[in-house]
Amino acid sequence: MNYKPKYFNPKGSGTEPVSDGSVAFKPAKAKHEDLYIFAPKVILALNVSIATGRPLLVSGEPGCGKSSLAKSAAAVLGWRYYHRTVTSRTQAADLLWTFDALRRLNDASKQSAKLLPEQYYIEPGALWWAFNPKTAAQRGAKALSKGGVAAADPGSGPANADAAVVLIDEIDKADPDVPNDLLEPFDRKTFTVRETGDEVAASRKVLMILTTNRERTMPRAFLRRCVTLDLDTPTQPWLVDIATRRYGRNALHEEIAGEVMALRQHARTANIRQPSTAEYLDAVVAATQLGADRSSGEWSEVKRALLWKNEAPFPEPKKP
Amino acid sequence: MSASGRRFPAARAPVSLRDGIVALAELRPADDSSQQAILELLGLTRAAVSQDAPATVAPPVSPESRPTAGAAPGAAAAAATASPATAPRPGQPLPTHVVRKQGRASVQPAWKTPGAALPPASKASEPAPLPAIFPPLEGRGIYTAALSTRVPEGEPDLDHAVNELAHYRPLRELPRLPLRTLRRGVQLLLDTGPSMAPYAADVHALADELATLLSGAQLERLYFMRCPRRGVRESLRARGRTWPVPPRGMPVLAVSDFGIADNVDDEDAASVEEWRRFADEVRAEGHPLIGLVPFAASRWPAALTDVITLIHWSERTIASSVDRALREAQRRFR
Repeated sequence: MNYKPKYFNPKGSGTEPVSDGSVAFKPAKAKHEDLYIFAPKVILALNVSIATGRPLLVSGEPGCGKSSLAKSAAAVLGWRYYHRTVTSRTQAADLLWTFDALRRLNDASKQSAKLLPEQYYIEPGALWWAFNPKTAAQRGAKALSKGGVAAADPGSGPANADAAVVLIDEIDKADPDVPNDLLEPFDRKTFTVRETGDEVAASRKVLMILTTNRERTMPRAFLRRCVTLDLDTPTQPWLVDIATRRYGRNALHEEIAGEVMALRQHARTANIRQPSTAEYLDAVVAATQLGADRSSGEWSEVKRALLWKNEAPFPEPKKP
Repeated sequence: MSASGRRFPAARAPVSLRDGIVALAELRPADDSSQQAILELLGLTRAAVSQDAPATVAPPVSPESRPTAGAAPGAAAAAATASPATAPRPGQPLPTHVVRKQGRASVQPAWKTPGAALPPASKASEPAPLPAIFPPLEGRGIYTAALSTRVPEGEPDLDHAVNELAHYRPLRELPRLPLRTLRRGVQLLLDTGPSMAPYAADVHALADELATLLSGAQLERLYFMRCPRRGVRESLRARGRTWPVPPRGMPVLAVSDFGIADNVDDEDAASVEEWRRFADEVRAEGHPLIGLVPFAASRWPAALTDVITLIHWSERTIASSVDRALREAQRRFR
């Protein structure tokens, strides 16, 4: 692809070019697990998302690197990083703030205790921290008064960064209304804290990355506001490449990758869960550390435990 | 990960044209493929735009006016095209409008050039897909209204809290107002019996629509003939088994005629009484039972509405009318 990667260009320290135009990146002093390979289309999507200020909605099969993309992108950019994993109980407001109504009620009913301003019962959420860390630390108050406790920044990366990456993981787990309830904060990068009336506006550049396992479709109004990226399904050479970059060259990587690909094919046909990249890497580590004989029954048990977590019977390889 | 492993294709909807212009200006693609890739990320491809553009809207079709299983294909279309107001009377000359074009007359008219072969008869006679009974935009709201359950996780219930404190009763936990959620999923019971044959395509479309709203683990889809008391199947070809009680709190949505059709051709048709017994079983297990029925409320027997929350499966149904039906049913069941 030929364009100007103005905003996201993983080159320089910690990066290494890969044959197909991808770039492998591992932050300095990071563990092997933090290595990420940015495919050309991922680099383009990050550039488009930052250029337009739109959230990046990332989909793809399990283990293709959806969730780790955000942290690696933040490391490349040198931006602060926040994340929040969505569950079926998550409401849109939880990503912005939560209000400890019970603590305030208890304080209000204690005659001896002095009631603190409403702001001190507010707990800022991941999006608030990403938008405006200063007001988040003060929970929306103009200034911290005596007795008030500043909120602790849950992010990682450079503390004084003038931009942030926020990951909202597995947005499709939430109730169908939740994505639509986030349209305004996504669009205008502002929101109002209901309990206090404080308006929070983004004070820095924010790259919002959302992931979906595509367990349900997203509302069209929500999709209209996102840059959408579908990550490619892992291939055997890609798996081997990842393992080699992490743990060095070993013939074992190719052999286990072949077994993983066969299991993935079997699971796809049966419409059940497929082993992911993380599970492949676990199997590589287990095989290396335990030195198990791959023709033994023990190795079959290891594979069953690490690569086949389905109720369906483990597909035994055909005997020659 | 859903239990079934089912995933929906990556959906795209066009972001605004402004974003496309900004992205192209900022990233300056030097070739067509780079430009195309950027626009595609924003959903600004030709296909996506045409998909999002308002399509020609087909007139709404009432389930009661849908063709029955035995209706001749194409009969409805023929009836629709023959408009008595514009058709010439017998003996009246056909209206013509001749235009003489200037210039060379050697150009072959389009109709004289050899055309493509007609499709095979089987494909040509395949009926066009019917429009969804619940319009796409309304459908999502209707299903959410009908199937969401209430959990005490909403805003603090201040009235309740004040009342407790006013009586010097300490609060062990903060009372909260109910919040509607779909997280409990739904058990979907689809009637494939003879009385529902005219709606077979709609029944399958409805199940697919619900699958886009709920994740795989949240949607238990079962098929039955006439009444689930006679057994259910996981797929049309699977073996029958007794109706499985769904997980605690999961609502049950049945799509059926509930014996209302009174189909004289079906000797084994389920009776209203049989449905009542099934409704009692479902309610005894503590599950809300909601029924989607393709007949208007005027045809619902009181014996059914006493035990099932019935919703008219019609293009006229809207989310607020479903809300109202649920509230009224709750009052009746109390």
